[in-house]
Amino acid sequence: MVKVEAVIVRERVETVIDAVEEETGHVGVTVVEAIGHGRERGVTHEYRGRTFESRFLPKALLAFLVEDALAERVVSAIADAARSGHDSGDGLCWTSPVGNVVHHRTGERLG
Amino acid sequence: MTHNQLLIAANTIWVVFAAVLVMFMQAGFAFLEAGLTRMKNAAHIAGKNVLIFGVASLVYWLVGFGLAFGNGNGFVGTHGFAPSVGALLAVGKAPYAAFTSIPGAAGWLFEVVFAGVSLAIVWGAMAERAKLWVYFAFGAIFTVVYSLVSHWIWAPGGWLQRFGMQDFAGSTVVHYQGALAALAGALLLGPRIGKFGHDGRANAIPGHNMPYAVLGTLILWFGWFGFNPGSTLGVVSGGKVGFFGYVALTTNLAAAAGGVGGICVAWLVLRKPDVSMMLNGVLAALVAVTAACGFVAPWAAVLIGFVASGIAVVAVPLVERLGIDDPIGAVAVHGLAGVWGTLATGLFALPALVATVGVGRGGLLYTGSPYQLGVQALGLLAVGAFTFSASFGSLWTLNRLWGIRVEEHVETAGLDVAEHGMWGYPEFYIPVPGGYGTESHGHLVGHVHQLHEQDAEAA
Repeated sequence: MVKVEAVIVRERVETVIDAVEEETGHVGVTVVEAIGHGRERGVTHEYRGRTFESRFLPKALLAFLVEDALAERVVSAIADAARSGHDSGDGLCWTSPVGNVVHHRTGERLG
Repeated sequence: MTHNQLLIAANTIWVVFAAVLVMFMQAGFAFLEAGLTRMKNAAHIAGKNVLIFGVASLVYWLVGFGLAFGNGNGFVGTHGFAPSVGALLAVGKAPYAAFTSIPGAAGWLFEVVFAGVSLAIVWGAMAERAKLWVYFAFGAIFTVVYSLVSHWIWAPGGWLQRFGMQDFAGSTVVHYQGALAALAGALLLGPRIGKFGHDGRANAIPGHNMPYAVLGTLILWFGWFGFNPGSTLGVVSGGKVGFFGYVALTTNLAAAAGGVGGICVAWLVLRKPDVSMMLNGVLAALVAVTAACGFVAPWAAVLIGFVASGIAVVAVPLVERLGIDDPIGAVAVHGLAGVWGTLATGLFALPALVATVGVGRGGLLYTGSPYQLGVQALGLLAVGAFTFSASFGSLWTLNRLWGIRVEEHVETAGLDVAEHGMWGYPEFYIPVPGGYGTESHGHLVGHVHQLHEQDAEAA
């Protein structure tokens, strides 16, 4: 099995999950609300005319556990769906091999 | 002091006190509406109640009060715009002869808070997707429309008043009118993104804070003790001293029946004792008894409140099924319950109480005559046609000229950050200086302070 992880903007969470399901048939995801930053290094906010900086931006971390053969198509689906057209902040996606994947309810070993 | 001066003093104390209670209903709307919508719009939705009460007050001072209660003809008041100090201090004299036993200023205060409540209702159905400037523009337009209708029904010599239309505190004037404009706004704005699926089925968009909605409802219930009993405009009505106490009793009975009815009907119909439907039941009952409160027996107030709560529970999903996105339920709670309350007064008005209040005739149940019911229906038809078309027409025009709905990305990000540059709950969205998650970037906060000090020195 392969773990596909992606950091994306929060508004795109459902768009990305839908895209993965439509294009690869894979169902199942874990969503973690995350904060972080890429090269843009956070953002400047205004409050009552004063600016303040926030180093982090709200993001979502998605994790999909998929069959090895599916991994590449899942990654493409995520990347296409997460692209917003903005200058920065769309996030990244990557894969890593995982082992001992066990289905809790059935005890089945998935790989 | 003479006896008459003492009476004026007592009346003024009561009316000003009641006006202050009604003003506090804006707090009720702020919490109710913020609670029943999403977190990302909370500051905007709560804050707009301050904005629209400001707009309504200024417009009502300049033109609204004159249109509504200034001397004039059956359709419109033509005097008393931007009133003088003399006119405001005088009791029972032109241009505000309508207020026979309180100064013009007390009358203005009591009536402006009603205009504010009616306007607050409008935005319930338009929540989470209207542009900020629309609150200024349509707020002013609606205040004028509201003032005209309140002249028809409440001003001495208004054409519906002459027929004897019974609307004690405004089921029609305040609530039905607000709901008509709300319906026009919801139709023109269209549903919020994601409200309806591709198959047209409605999705639930849960409110973000149910305790807020509960608090808002309790504040509204509290404020209603000014709204209905205060509409006696004095401490003696038709020779009955302290009649407003009776009006407070019917108001409370109806609300109580509405709360109990709302949760029970929801339990039966929706199969869950839904808390928000209990709240809608209370509010629908209060709306319905607003027309009837001075005219009906206690048992009738209970019945009116109970039926109103059933209407609210059934109509909120029904409005959705028509493809109308009304986040708070204004069309059902203020509109349909307002219609029911107005008609129910024509059914249940007790002749002895009608004599005390001195408007219209006894209801169908007591007199066997459909006259009063007919007058109530005529009023609903006339107000429905006028206020809906005026609201729809003006919002349609504003929409064609500048667009009244926010851009998609604004709606997605939330009106708080997109329109106002701030969040209702910033620490939920971003680490803020001194808030959760900021330990690691104290240097940035210091850096910003330094920048400001440099700015101050440069200036």
